Amino acid sequence: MIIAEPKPIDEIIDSLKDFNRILVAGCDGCVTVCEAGGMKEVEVVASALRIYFKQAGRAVTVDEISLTRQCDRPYTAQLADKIDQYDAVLSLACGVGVQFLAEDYKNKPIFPGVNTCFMGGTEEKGLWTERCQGCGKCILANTGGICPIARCSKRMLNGPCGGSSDGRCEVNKDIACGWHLIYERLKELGQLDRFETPTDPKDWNTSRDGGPRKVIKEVSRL
Amino acid sequence: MSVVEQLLDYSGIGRKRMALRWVSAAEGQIFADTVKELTESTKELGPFDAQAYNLQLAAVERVLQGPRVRWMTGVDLHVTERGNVYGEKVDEQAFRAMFEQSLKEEYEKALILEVLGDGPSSVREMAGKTGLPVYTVSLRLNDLERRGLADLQKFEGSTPRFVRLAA
Amino acid sequence: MANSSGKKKKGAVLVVGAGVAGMQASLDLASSGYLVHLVDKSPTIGGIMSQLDKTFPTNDCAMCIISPKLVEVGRHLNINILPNTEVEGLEGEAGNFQVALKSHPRYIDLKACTACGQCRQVCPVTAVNEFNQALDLREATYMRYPQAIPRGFTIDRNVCIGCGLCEKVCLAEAVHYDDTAKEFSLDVGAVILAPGNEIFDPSKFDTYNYLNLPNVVTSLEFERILSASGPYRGHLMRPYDREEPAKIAWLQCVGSRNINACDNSYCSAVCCMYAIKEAVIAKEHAHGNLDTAIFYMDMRTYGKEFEQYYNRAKEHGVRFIRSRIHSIEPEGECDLRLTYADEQGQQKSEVFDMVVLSVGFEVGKETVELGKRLNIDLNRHKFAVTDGFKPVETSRPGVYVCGTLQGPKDIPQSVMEASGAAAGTSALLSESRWTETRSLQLPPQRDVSKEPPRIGVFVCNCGINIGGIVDVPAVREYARTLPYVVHVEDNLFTCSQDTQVRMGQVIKEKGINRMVVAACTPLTHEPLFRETLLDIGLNKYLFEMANIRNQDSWVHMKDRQKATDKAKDLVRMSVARAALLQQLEEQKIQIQQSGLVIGGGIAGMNAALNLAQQGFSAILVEKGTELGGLARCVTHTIDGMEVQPYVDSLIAEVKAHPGIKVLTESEVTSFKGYKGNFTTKVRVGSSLEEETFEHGVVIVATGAKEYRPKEFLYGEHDGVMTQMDLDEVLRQRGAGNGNDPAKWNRAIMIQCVGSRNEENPNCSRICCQSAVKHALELKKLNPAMDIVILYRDMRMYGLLEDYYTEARRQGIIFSRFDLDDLPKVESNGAGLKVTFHDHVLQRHIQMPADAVVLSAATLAANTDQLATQLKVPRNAYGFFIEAHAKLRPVDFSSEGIYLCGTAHSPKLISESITQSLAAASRAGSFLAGKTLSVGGAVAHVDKSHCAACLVCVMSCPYGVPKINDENVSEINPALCQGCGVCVSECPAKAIQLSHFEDDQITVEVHALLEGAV
Repeated sequence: MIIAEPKPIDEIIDSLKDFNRILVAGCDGCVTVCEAGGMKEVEVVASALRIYFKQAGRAVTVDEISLTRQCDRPYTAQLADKIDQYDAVLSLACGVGVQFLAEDYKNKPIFPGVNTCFMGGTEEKGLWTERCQGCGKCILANTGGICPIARCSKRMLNGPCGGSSDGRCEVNKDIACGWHLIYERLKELGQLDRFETPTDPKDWNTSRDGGPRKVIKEVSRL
Repeated sequence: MSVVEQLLDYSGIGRKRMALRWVSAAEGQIFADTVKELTESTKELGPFDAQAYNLQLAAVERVLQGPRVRWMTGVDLHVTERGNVYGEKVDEQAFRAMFEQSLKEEYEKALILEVLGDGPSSVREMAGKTGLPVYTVSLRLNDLERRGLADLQKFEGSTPRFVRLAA
Repeated sequence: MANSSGKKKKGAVLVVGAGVAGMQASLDLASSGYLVHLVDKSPTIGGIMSQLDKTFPTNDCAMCIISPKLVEVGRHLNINILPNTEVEGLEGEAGNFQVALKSHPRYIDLKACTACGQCRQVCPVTAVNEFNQALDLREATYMRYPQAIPRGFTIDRNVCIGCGLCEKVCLAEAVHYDDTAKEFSLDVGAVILAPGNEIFDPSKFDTYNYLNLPNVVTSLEFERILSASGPYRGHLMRPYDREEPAKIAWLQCVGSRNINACDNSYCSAVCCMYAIKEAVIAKEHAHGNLDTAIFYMDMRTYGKEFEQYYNRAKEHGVRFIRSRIHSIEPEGECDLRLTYADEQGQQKSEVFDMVVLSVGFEVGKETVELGKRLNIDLNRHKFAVTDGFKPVETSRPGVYVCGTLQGPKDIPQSVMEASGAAAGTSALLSESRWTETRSLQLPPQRDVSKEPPRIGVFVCNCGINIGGIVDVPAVREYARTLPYVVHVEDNLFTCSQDTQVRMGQVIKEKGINRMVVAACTPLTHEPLFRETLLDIGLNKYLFEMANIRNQDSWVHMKDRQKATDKAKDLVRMSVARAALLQQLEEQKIQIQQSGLVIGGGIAGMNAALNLAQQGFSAILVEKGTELGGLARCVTHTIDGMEVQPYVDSLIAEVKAHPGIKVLTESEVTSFKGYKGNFTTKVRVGSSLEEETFEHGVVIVATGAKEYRPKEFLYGEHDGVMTQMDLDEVLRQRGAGNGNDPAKWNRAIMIQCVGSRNEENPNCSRICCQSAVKHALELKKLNPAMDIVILYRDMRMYGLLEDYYTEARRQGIIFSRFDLDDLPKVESNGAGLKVTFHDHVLQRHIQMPADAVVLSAATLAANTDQLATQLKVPRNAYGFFIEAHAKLRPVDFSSEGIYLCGTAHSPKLISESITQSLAAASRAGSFLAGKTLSVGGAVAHVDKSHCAACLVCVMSCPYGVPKINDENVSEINPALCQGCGVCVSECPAKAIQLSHFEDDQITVEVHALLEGAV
């Protein structure tokens, strides 16, 4: 899922300080699971905003809502009947949600309440780690299910750089060396012979380097 | 009558200051003798300063108006001669002793209540005004508190002051 | 199995004496399935504990902690209270007794009496009030104390003159002068004696001038003086002139440890602690600075955390003077002069305003007569004779004993013994469980869900605990102004039985559907008030409590105005919440009828055996290769009983019992579940295989170990050993290896090694008797041996004192040292030399010795892993923490888990056995219920908002939420423990905890901040 992190409250207050009717909108999707933008965080941020405005001596309305998802128009449309009550919306959804809301409600300032970070999973409760960078051309079949784009700091494609020590990356001791992990995994699978065939240079067209992307499934289009 | 006599004794007034005699109109001699006798004995006792005994007299009155003594006087014969509710006769001596003890206690409590009428007092102050020993005041006062007739008002330093509840 | 006569055993028990021990035994048994006849010669239950003000070591108010038990006993279906009754005779045998009883006439019909007090108002006769220890009077028609159970008056024929006035004024027509004594008989299976003791009458000691000097009082009188329901309403005053004393002295050991002026050579075991408590509490009551001085011989603060209580008292400024005062001289009009010699031999003299005589226990004449009638043996001090290994059994089979008749002891020990006696009884009568009992008929619950809230507010004075600080009438009137409130009142003690009855009536009359009580803590009193609601047909979750005592009056004693304002705030919050409370339903689940006992020492084995004898099954897990535990290191008890044969026979009994599964070399590897349904994995034996057990309860009996000293040359010289080492040396004597104690010329013992110091402030309780025991053994071995015991306080409590006297009689020398001048042990070739400061000679002495024996501390075993697995707390010294020091000494706060033995705190073998039986009794009471009510205040998921994120699954400490087939989280209400963790963690706010829903909490916050924010 998309992993995001709540923005520092000071930054959020700075964006919203001049408004009078604010809606804080969460998302029941990824940001709920990574505990950054679900209803609970919505209530927490809304409380913090109310305290700030009270102390500033300003009568500001702060309302709370959470949408099923902010990356699907039928859900974002649910705000249509109430959005005029507000002069600003703080979206706690990932970057996608913030942008969809901005597109739907062109004349309403939509502010982000989280920093969207990466695609990853729940390692343990409270700990989410990166696994995928959306390169668009998955090579996990060759690397024993461990991605060198996401997990190697240098995105090496054909083996370790040699700078690792004790299985840890030379860039940061807290990061495991991706290729070390790949090696051990391929050994377990009995596929070490994959190292004998070098990988072709990667076509980065399918990744961010090729500009904003889209995926079309013709058979699904109405 | 004996109740009143005893109370007058406790108060220091003395029973001799009061007499109750039944004399009919046909008993002239008895009337004359009685008047002579009482005049003599009263002359011996000397003048009576009622003002000096205000406190004691008020206490005696309070006791006589209180329910406890009246009731005990009323049941005296019932329990000693006719048999009480259990069908037994209480020994006369024992009853008398108990009655006298209660009477004394009631009188002492009445003195304390009268003194408290002047305002909140400490135990020692009450002892001073009533002439009762300090510990006796302590015990009687506690009984008054228990019966809801007196209560602690407040402490002044380490000395508690008490008040009368209701007149 | 039935009796020798072939008759089935009777599932009913007679408990004689309704003090705290009698009540505990009754409650345990009644909840376990037996009908209990609770007899007391007094018109009410409660015993001495009802007369105490506060109790050590928690300083809880005695009435506050006994009140829930009084009410529980009063309303328990299976307890039949027989006041004013005495036992005349006992025929039959264990399992089938016929008891002859005589009840004295009360002259007042309890069923009709409303306790209005009119009779007492008019009664012309007064008598000495025993409850207030003759500090004040009462009428002939009286009620022993305000919270009395059974609730009603009595006429004391000894002083009643039979005037008939009370009958005339009684509107309930409850007075019946024709009441007569009744003789009747009951059939029971067993008898438990808990008649308690009298306190010693100090008028025997004319030098104390107790009868002549009003300001000399006994400790029980002082309790009444301190008590809010006492003659001085809790104000600290002295009897002579009602002044507040500035200096009070306590004289210890009055009527105890005395063979000259009276015959009580034993120690009464509680007086040191209660004197400290009274001094500390008196200081709290005093307006000014109260000077308190305790004159003592030994400070016997030997119980769990008692030593810390003693230390804190010293910090509070309580003076401790080691001297036994012989006389009290009158000084001036009413003061008291005490003269004594200090340790240096200087004569000192001090004048006090009041002197409290710490009187000891004594078995009353009537109790001795009772013992004769019941045909049980009493020892020379008239306490019941019991066997060190069967501490709750009397000499007559089927008759058990607990509390102070067994020996002088404090409340926690009494409560443990009571449960222990219940365990013994339950094992005897287990085949007849539930045969005599009555079943609960609760009225149908009225459905209030469609009604608007109608709230009744009851504000408690709690004696003076609340009313003395908070303006209760003002709070009551304030409550009247709050939304939805239809009724307000204040009570002296909202928890007393009479108030429950009153509340029931008021609730019915006014159609109240939500109850708010502003009083003490829901921790102790919520169940009580919830039961009241059930009794009148309302759902028990419609109750809310505001804590205006622990959270208000107790912590804001110095500012009454603010305390009152805060009470109003708290009430406003509770009323707001009460309006939103909903009815909640519970369901019944099965309780596994077995117990897991962890630890195979004496405590663990006795617990397992008793559970099995009660008809449940037990799994005994021991991590060592053998059963036996610490007892394997003890040869004899101080009474001379042989420990090893006992342990051997106990092991044999345990192994032979079909209901017990013994697993040695085994340890718990994982633990989950909840009371009634625990699932534990145990690694069995050296095979490393794991077995899984489903059981209903856990009993922790993990034991303790002896401290290995680092001081006094221990480990560096062969002549220095611990008491346990000495035990081994004495045992190995015959084997003829090396050190033969019989050849020693002199042995010196040092007490408190590793105890009562900065690292370990606890007293290890058993070391004094261990030293005396071994010293007497050594003397027997070689009467010419010189034995010196260096001590700080000789803590030979209770009946152990006689051994201390005997030791001195045999010429064993006792010399006292202080913590700041420890003895020095030096090597002297094969021997040793010890230098110490003698308290009598007031100089240092050096003595050669062949052996130095260290009374090393008893320390908690290492239970880090187990404590984490079971999630049970331990104190800073590794001993497990019980739910309540006084009233729940063998329960953990976590339900279904119990504690016994030295894992709780150091104790004697007989005390461990008592505690293990108590744990088995408590566990058995729980298991006997067979089913458990669950649900109610549990969490529920709003499926439409659930993101199936798994946060609740990961957070729940009990592993309850599961993602179901609909792909949303599901919480089984039967398993949910209502902790609320998932509710606070859920990122989608999809989970709510019933009874603690968001709106119910936020409304409280808004109510609190009304007007302020």
